[in-house]
Amino acid sequence: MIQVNNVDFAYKKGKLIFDNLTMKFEPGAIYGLLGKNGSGKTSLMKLISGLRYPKTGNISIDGIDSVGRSPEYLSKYFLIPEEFDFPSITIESFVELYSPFYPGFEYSQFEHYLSEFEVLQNSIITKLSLGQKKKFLLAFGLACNTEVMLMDEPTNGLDIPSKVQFRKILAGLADTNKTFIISTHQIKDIEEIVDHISIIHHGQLRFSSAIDGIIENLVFSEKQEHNESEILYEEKQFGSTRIVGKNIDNQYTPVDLELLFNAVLVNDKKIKEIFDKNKIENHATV
Amino acid sequence: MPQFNINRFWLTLKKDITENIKVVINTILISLLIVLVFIIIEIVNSPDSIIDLNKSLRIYYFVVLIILGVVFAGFSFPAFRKTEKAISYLTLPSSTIEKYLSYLLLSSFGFFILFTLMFLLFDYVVIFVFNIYKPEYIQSYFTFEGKIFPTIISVYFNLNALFLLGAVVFKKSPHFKTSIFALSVFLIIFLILSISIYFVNNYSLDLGKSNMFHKSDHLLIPFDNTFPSVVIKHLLQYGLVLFFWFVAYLKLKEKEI
Repeated sequence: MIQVNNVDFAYKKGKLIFDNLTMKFEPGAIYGLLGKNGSGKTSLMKLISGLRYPKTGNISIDGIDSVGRSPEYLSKYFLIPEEFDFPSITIESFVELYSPFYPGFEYSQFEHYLSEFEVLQNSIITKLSLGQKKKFLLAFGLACNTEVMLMDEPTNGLDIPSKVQFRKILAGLADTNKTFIISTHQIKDIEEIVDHISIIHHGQLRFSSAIDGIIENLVFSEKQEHNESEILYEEKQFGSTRIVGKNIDNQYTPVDLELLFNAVLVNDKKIKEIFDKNKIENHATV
Repeated sequence: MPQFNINRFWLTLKKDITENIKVVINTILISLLIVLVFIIIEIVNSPDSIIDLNKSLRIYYFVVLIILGVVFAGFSFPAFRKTEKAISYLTLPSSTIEKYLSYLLLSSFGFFILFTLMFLLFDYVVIFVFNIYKPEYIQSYFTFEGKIFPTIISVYFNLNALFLLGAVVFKKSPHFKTSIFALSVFLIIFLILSISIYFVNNYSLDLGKSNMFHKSDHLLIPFDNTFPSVVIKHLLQYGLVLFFWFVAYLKLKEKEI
């Protein structure tokens, strides 16, 4: 489990990016980490991966602190950064040199993912296109079988068939005991695969809930189907008006992440109230 | 407490060697080619009777060793020149001490051994060919004899360690920035020492003379072969090297991207 405890963080001489941030990521879930540009998604990825250290507070994976970047900590996750650079060697040489650092690495899995992504195994990495490099890194990272996969904009640079493959592979891994954190602003790419949504805005965790919880508490629909009093957020989309409303009559609608994201940015306090109230009621029922 | 695992260290070293060896060998080969051109020019332009190839090659060995040593040390940790590379380097599951020792071995000791071996081979070929064509002016092969050799080695390791530290500290233009920094520190220390000596001991400073500190004959430490003397001498020669290595390790440990 990843725990982010009371983290304050700022880049040198800059304003505070995170102010007392606390959140946790449980195993066996795919987390969608959403936020506007500059909201702190990449900073959070860097903090979790130990590339940056918090000013105060701490970050740990299974109780191991990120500060110091111990090999035990580093082997617990694999990071797919938004931008990457490889040595000028073949894929085979890369695997030979880098895979021994990851005890869970499975070569057969790597071959499988690579063929799913249609990347040739004997290629020199630096000669691959940006998209192919990303697909290779995804294949390698997934085959490392680390407890945590950190993915910063993983679908950037992927063509449409590759995005489909990526979602298919990730969906297949959803039931395992791994934690996937996908930071993205391309919400549509991850809509069908995430089972938990965390929204960061201005250095604060504004929203965090499992998809089941969102379905239980909110409805996403056209405006005419709802009373004004239940509407938490509305947005004009191609002639119609889409709304996020409070789910008062237990109707379950598919989650519209884009709408939810905008709703949280505008009305996060009201949404939080609904979730908190339902949590208390559910506890009371139990 | 630094975490060190010999298997992981070997993996890190193997990775670093594979990723850097081509550049190192190619640079040494190009340098030797340049030295060969200088040697040929010397042979062509000097009368046979005064040619001393052994002496010339020794000078080239020391000069190229120190220059390339500085260049390679300054280019150590190439990952830190580019954020994307640094991410993959720092997130690799090996400890800071393993990553650091791997580069220290490569850029200081590894380069020194590889360069010396390649130079010895080069020297052997050059002298062998010369002796065949000019048997009347037989030249001797390279040896490590002479008092200058330990001094040169000491200079090599001091500069190498300084630029290794610069490679960790400075993201851009590490050679230039390290040189400026080192020169500034040197000038400050020189000025402080000069002023201290001038005021405290009433020694006068005269930059125009070979012995800058008049009456300073007694400032020289008389080294003999006693154990304390040997220790002090080596500490003076290699103390800074150890200091630079240690600071470079600490800087690497706290590196953030």
